[in-house]
Amino acid sequence: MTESKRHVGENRATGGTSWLAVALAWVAVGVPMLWGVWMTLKKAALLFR
Amino acid sequence: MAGLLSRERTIAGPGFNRWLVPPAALAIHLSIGMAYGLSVFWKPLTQTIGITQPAPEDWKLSTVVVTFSIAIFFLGSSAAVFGRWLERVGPRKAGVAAACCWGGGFLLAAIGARSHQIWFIWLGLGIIGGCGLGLGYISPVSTLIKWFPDRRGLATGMAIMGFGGGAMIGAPLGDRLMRHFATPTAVGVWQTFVVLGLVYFLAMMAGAFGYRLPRPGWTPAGWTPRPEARSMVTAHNVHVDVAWKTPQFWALWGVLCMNVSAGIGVLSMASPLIQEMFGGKLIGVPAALAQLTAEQKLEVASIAAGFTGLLSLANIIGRLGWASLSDAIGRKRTYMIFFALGAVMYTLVPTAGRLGLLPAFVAIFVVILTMYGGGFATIPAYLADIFGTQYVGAIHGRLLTAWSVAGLLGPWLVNTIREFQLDRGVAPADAYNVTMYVLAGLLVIGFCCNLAVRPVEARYYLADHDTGAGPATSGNPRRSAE
Repeated sequence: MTESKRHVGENRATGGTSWLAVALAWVAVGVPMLWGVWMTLKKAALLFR
Repeated sequence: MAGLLSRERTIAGPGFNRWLVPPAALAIHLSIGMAYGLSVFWKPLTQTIGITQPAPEDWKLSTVVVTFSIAIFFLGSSAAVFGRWLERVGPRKAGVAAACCWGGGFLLAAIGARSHQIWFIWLGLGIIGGCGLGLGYISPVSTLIKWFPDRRGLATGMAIMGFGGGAMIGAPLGDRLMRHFATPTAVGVWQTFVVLGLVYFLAMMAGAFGYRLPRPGWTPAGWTPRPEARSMVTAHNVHVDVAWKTPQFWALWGVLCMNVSAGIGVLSMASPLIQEMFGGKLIGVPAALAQLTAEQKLEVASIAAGFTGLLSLANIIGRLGWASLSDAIGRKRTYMIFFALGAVMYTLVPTAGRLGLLPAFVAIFVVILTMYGGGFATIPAYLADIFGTQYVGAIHGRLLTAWSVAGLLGPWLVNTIREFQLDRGVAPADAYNVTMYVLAGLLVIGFCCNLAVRPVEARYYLADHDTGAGPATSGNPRRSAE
């Protein structure tokens, strides 16, 4: 595959990103983070018991 | 594979949504952020032979804990050394290298834990893993700043927030995995290392392949740069090899070093600090810590662990909140607030402790830790404002040596002053008072360093034909689908 063809392929693959893809990417990192925040808050709640 | 990782292959196509880049950066930062959660393994690693309690042949706690110091040292060193390489090869290759180092480091550590060879742990999680931390930490910085010239603080804050949050996920996950793998003859550490190594490798590879660079000259729709003469934000670029010779670099180095020294000093002693200052008051018993029963001490320790967790959360919130605010009020003003408000807060700690005002004490430390995190997250945007965006990743890498120094200075100051106070017969509850005033003094130095930050002289700028958003392909500026 020539260099120029590779670039076209790459551009086609990344062009016109949908908001659904953006939302899924944020969910993928957001869910573990929220789980971590929840675990931390549970531990921190002891402070105000 | 080499072509797939090349800088040219990461140039975004038309219509690429820039909001896909922060989650890619977060995937990497959340993974390497586990560096702060490694402490969950230290105790089990001292019992790999004795299982229920340390055997004479088991490693000492000090032997395994040094792994963290090695990792942080190599974080700063690798960020400084490989920053230029990162700017040349692009973020994807750096991200893949970081994934191999951090994931592979866990696998080496697993071999060490399985065969009881401490060198494998030091090499895996300390040296190789530390290089993965450095590469992973700086890999998204310049990319995000190029995608978000209108919100540099928010963009870097989103990524660097992940480094603060990684331990919140990794520590409880590691704990659960160890309990899952534990048997009457094994503590379950090496199996946990294998699982985490694979999980982090995959998450970081996904992040690395999610990186995209904007085309040269790309700007967000509807955004126009502010006139340079009226702001601290330059439209020019300073080469990394020139930047570190400017007074601005060293002023910013001092800014980061002082802010981190004070914050990391507090973080390193958060648990004993609240226990010794409040003692039995934490559980409603009017007695000093030394007068409590073993059971009461355990209860106090668990509350102190909650306090440490709350500080971690404040650290994360500060990374996103302060960095975003800096987009509106400017980097210099943001650091002025950190240092001025921080100095006042530190001096109030002894009073809050003496009066037994627990809510005020907790609130003070929460604010302090938001500013500690905010300092980390705002510095890349500050560097981009002063030195331009072209070499900001490499310049940021060199500036992170301030973190390495602060990591030694802050805890050393706090422990030395505390020990000195105790040796002079000061009660444990009062042993931190002088420390707080010294930490406030560090922030005053930081304030002065920040005052000294001015725009770089024009003679340091790269010639116009050398500047630009990136060295990659030519083409018309594109606008993103926001």
